[in-house]
Amino acid sequence: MDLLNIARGPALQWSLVVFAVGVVWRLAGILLLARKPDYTEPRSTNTWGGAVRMIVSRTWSKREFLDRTAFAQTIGYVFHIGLAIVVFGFVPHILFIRSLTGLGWPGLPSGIIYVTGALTLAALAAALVRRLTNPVLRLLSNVDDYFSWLVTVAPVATGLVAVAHLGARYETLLAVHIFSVCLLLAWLPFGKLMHSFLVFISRGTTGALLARKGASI
Amino acid sequence: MTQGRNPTILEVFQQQGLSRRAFLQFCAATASLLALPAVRAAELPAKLGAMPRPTVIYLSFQECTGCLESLTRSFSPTIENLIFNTISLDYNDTLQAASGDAAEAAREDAMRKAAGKYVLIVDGAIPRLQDGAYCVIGGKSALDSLRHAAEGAAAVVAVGTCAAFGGIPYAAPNPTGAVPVQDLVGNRPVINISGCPPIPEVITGTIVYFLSFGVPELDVHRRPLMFYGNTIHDRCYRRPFYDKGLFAKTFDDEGARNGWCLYELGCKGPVTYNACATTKWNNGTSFPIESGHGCLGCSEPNFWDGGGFYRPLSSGFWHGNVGAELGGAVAAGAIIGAASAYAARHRQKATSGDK
Amino acid sequence: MRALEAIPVVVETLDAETGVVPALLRELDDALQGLLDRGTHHLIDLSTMPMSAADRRALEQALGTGELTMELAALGRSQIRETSFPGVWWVRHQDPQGRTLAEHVEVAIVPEIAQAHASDIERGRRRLGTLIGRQTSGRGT
Repeated sequence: MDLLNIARGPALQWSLVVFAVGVVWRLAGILLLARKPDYTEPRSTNTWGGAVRMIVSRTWSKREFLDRTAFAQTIGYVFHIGLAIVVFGFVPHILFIRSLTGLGWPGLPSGIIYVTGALTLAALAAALVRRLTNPVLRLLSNVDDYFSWLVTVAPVATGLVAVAHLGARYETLLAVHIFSVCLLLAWLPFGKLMHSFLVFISRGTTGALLARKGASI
Repeated sequence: MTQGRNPTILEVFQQQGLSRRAFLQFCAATASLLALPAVRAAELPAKLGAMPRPTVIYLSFQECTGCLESLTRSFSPTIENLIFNTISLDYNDTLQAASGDAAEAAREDAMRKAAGKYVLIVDGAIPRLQDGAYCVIGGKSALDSLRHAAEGAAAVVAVGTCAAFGGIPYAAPNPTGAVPVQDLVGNRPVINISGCPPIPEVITGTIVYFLSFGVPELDVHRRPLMFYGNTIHDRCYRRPFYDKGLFAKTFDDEGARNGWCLYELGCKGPVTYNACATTKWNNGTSFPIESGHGCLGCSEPNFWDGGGFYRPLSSGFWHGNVGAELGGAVAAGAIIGAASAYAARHRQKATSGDK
Repeated sequence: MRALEAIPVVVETLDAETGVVPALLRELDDALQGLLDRGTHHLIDLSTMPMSAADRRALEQALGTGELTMELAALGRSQIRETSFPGVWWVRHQDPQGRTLAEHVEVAIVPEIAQAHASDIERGRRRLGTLIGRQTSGRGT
């Protein structure tokens, strides 16, 4: 159990610290950048409204682009929603969040979590296959893309292996799962996974700018 | 009567007024307990019966005597403590009638006569600081006693979590420098029977197996796989509730009354290997979870320092004030972020000219 | 204790036959042949065999009850019952509190535990000798 105590103890604690430092660093570093002053006459001053509207409207592609984007979008939603269900719906996870923040909520039956986890894993695998087979994506992909995929898949895969008791003693599998989460937390602020925070800022900014110009959102 | 040699275990049984039939009953029950395959079960009476009564030396060190109590203080004589009484009581500080120098001398004599063949049972941890001065019995430190006794032993059985892993003396801050038996005995087979205390049937079952068939298959912590091969979680009767996501939230709520899973109340069943869920305690009466309390993980190393008996297994195992640490992390991030933004703004102004 | 009993413990047992009984019956048939040819004993441990409640009932029904039942009161209580097939015995060991410790089906002329063993006989003879000695010396004739 000592590996487990290291994983759920200092490793997790330090990776949370790195996560906190990293997220705030990047957010501050972006939000505090200078912006060119805009001397034009605004068509609308409801820029916050525009920001929110754009965040919502960009959640699904416009009809014109659906042919080319539907597959990737669907796969993306499957694994994003799947991750959310698994992370926030599995009782042991909820208890961890409660131990950190004091907030708790009722969980889902474990069977549902396992099925969702398997679907999430499948969707993530499909996303990788697409990235590797689509020539444009293949050209554009870099280390960040692949590594970010790896640190996202690892917790899902190791979590499923742990509950299935596959291959090693349970406490070892649990330690490996927790280590993979530590890796995810430590990497998140520094690669493309930071989109989890930045997507709202970038869409919102675009929406605000377009609203100011009076363009449709 | 054959004098001058140790009586066989069967003869010892018979000397206590028990017939060979009683011995066969004991063997049948033990074979079932050990889940022996048919061939071995058939061999057990012959092998065990013909075995000369082994010399068993029982040494107690930094312990609370709970392990011995578990074994000997039952309401009525059980088959388990009978075998223990039959083969193990001679040289046991707590239970033997003799005391003082004569008793020590008798034990030394027995160890010399059975050199290389006796079974050494140890309970309690061994303190190492100050040359072992924190546990001295009859003028000898526990450290010296163990080293001396282990030399002539055929095998060493560490009974209880204190002997197996250090237990409560080993828990932070371990002021006496306590260590488990396996850290001190290198060149003899060591069998750990952990638990705080271990289940009595597990202790006697392992000893019987060892006497009949030698060292059993051991797991990575040197515990017999036949008793420590499964986690409590994998054999728990409340497992269906865990799988359905039904957990008791407090000790007397609706969920607790309905016998729901105790994971939220700190049960360490998923990472604890022992026979409690199948063999149970007090002759199969119950075990902690069936009585409504989560598993403490008492047969695992470092269970005292595992984060708290009532905190769920998946809750954070924080050291220090995690809130303050994260607050500091946020502040540090803000400073670094602001600094990098400032540097960037400086560059932005420089490259864009005045406008 | 009442509070403890108020917690409903719902045990879900698979109460369908798993198909192990016909296999056991064939094993017993082989063992009986072995007993007749070579005099070998055979034991099937029922405590450790994965059997559903339905399996157990089916086995009891299949084997039935024979002519001879023996009660052994030694360390614990044991029941030795011959099934309707001579040579096939159902043996159950219980501790003094009545908890079943072990249960097996044994193929033998007589189960080993029922037989008087040489070492027990010798000890009994010594006691008999003492008794005879006391009677002849104490009473005169």
